[in-house]
Amino acid sequence: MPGAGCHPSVPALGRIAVACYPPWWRARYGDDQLGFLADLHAEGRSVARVLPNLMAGAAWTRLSGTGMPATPSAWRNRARTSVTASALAAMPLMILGLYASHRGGYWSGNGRLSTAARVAADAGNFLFPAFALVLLMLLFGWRILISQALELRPGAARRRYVAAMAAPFIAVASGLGLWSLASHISPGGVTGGSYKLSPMTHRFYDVTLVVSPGDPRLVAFLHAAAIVCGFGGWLVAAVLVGRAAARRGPATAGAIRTGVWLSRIATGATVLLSLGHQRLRRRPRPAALAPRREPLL
Amino acid sequence: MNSTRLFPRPDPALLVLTSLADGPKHGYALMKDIEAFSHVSMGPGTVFGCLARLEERGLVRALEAEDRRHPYELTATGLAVLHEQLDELGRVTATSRARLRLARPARPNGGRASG
Repeated sequence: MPGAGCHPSVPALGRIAVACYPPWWRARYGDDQLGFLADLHAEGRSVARVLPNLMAGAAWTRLSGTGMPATPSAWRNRARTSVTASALAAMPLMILGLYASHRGGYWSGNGRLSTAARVAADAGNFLFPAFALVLLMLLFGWRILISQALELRPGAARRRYVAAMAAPFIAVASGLGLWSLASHISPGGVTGGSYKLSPMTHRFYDVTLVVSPGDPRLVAFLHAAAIVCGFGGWLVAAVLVGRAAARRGPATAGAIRTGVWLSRIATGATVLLSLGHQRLRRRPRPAALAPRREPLL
Repeated sequence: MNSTRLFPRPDPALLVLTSLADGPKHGYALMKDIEAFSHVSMGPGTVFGCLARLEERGLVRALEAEDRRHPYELTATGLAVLHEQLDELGRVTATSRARLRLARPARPNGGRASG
């Protein structure tokens, strides 16, 4: 770390706080900040009191990029950190959402499902909007990924690269398909029906709903497979975009800067979508859980 | 009522520019000077965040390091911006004082609450 050994009188906590700043910042202002802390310490003032200010400054600098040199390599590093951090931050959110979803009682009225099946089904429901993140991530990363692909000569290497790029899409599409299938055959789910409308009163007088008997174990398996495909695809996409951003290539600083902002929007949108989706799913389901045939007129 | 809660304290960038107006200073000297003339305490995160923003916009520049600390000085642009900001503040202050002088005679009991 630049300046790490230059100011031995700075307390360890002060050094740690300065180390929280990004490398390009420390290279430029690290010695100045350590000098500041050394002067503060030498005058008998508390370094601990300025630590929150330093930590807040480090967080803000990492978020805003103030003072960062406008070079493609710096922006690539920033994009990589941004994607990795958003992926890591999303994981506990997913787990928390899964727990909240399961505790929310969406499946509580359906005694036919085992606890494991409910957890798997809830996870599938919760992660569904998160699948959109892959598309958004690749949306912002496509310029980088394609530029990397075009850099490679036609041949096996390019084919492997394109296959790696396509893998998350395929995984997510498979996850969506499995999730839809599982929802379709879910026990108690309505898979079809018919009704008759009275021409005089315009009211339904005969309603028949086809309710899926379903197999809880199959549903649980399909949900779990959907989670693995969707979540795995999302992680692979994050890693791919991050790695591509870190490699040398023709991507410009402006393109990557746009990518960083889009990734922030994508992360925020995913969280909002997940929350909104959960609220919608918690609404009482229509009285469709049992077949009925009754005149309504 | 504590007026600092109603009105935010002076902008750190303006305080830094004001402090540098009488010559180059390094970070700690800046903080002490600002504390002395404005009673505003700024931590190192704020001071260097502010210096980075000002340096990025070309309002201040770093000089050769002395004892591993860079002193910072105002650039010509920084000086012009400081003048501009002070003129603006001066206009508000002058208007406010003039209006207070006009309003004071009209207030009953010299401005004291009656009853």
